[in-house]
Amino acid sequence: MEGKIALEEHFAIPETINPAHDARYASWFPAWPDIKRRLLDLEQMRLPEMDKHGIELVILGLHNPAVQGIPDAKQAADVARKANDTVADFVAKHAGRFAGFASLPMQDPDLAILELTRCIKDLGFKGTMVNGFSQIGDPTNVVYLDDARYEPFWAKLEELDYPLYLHPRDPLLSREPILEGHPWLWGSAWAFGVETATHALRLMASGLFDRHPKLNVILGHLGEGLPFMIWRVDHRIKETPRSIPAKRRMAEYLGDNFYLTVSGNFRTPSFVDAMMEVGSDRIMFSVDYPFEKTVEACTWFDELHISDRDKRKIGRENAISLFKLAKTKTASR
Amino acid sequence: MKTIAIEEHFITPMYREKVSANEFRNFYLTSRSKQIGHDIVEQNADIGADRLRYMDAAGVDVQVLSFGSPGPQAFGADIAVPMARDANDRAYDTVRAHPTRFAAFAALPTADPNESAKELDRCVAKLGFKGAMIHGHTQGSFLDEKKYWVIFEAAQALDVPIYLHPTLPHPDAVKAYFQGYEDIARAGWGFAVDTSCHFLRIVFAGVFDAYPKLKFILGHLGEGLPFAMHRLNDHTWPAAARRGLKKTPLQYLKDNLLVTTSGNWFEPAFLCTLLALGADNILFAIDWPYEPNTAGIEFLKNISISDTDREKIAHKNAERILRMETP
Repeated sequence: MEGKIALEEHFAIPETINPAHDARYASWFPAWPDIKRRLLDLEQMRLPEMDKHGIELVILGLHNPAVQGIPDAKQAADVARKANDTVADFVAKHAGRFAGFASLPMQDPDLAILELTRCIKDLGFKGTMVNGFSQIGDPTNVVYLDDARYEPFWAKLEELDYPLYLHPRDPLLSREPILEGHPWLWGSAWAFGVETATHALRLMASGLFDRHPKLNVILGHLGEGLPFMIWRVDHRIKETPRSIPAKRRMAEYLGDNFYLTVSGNFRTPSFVDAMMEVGSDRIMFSVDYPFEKTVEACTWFDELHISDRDKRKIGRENAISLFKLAKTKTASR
Repeated sequence: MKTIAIEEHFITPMYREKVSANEFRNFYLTSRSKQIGHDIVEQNADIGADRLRYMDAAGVDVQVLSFGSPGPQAFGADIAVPMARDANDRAYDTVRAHPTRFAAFAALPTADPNESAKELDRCVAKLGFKGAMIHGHTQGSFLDEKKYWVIFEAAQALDVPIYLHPTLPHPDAVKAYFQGYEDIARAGWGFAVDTSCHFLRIVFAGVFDAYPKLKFILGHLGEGLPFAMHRLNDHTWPAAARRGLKKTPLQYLKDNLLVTTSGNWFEPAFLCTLLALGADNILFAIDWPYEPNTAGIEFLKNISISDTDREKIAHKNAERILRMETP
């Protein structure tokens, strides 16, 4: 399919690749040197690959955890601003081919609101990508987005009418003894999905979407396992409600306040499950570049046996409508 | 959740007088009535209080009425013309009496194609009908014959769909395939064979090259076509090109076909249809009185899909495609 739009597509600036992560990734990924090169590249390698595989527009977001892993709020704000300015400069040179998600210093909600507003109002960004919880002040102090301090942030996001891409990050080992001694469980193979699905459930259960019914949160990887489990979650909550503030079933929030992307989960049975649970209006294409191969994502998606109408919606049209791209060059095709 | 069911039949006194009975039809109607808990002929003939009572009991908000099979298609113009007009007038009376509960598809006297086009125009433009329902072949002749294209011309101009509903297969096919097995020539199997073949004849005749905006609706989750469409296309696209068709057979199925859920309460078949055609192209229908309303509503409520898609199938697609007023 030509004209695809991809929106879980990562980049880095030198400040976001800290030595600890660099060493850890080098020990995990045989391909890390190439991935790191691609993360730090904006100009050289992306466009030819997009052209080759029918991707018209990419929305860029930082890799994980990046800003969310910088405990000092001021430093986090500086790095976020630098990343956002880098994206803005690049997007300005390639209108219609690239757009940006704001990186935000969630360590300080007031600063996050300021930067979000600047990115959307002044720089034309299409929302924000937040990498899970933020470490605030002390590296062991972990704060999730359902925390009360974020209420004004969510209100502002709803007012601006752009989505938040809730991207995975690893949990802290100190909080997850089940992962200890099993490094293969870390990261995108397993821990990402559990961490992010749980975070999403916390948002749902907090009543966030009752207070802000127009909010949209995007989950990658076909919903981090939630479409597969959501019926059971509701089924069991019904038996043991345990004082959940939320007014509706979790499946209703998943259907009304979430979008899913296919990033890095190029598997038809899982896709069919997502199609049945949330429907084709709320699924979007993505690759997860450069952690995933563009050719693999596009070959799977292009050959996926669904109706033309659904393929156009998932590959392109849902993103045009969610990110209000109709006024840009992109939608004039 | 609002529900609009769009393959819901009725019959008239003239139908009961003219449509001939036979042993297999009688056995089917009797045994099926017993199976589903209401008298099919009796409920088919009612387009008033009893029908509404059954709709209310199950939760059917709106029926798009259509004349019963085989309807006017079983007759020459001398009977078909007054039969269709009478049926349409009766449907109109019901719609007028209960405008929030009923809409209608026109019955057409296809033995006279020009008269059919005129009747369609009358029904849509004057009476506010939502399209037409044709019950298969007209005494053995199929709609791909050029003489019928005036009906397609009218439908495209009026921007309304044609619901191609099953009937008993062509008499020669019944003789060849079903002699001695007449029971399976009906709704259980023969209807789907008849209707899918008929629709493919329309595709391969080039009707959709001539009328690219025309939509056909098939019931029963597409009469098997969503299941078969890849293989159909793979083995026929060169032949389609040789016949001068502008597109591949598959493309016409994607562009010109809508399906309904009528009487096919089977999740594997539904899932195939959902993937092959997409939720925007599936409309809710029950097939009253051959199916109990409760079966259709239970299926719609329980099928494992998102509420967004459920709403589309239950009423939103019908409101969009049939341009039904939304309150």
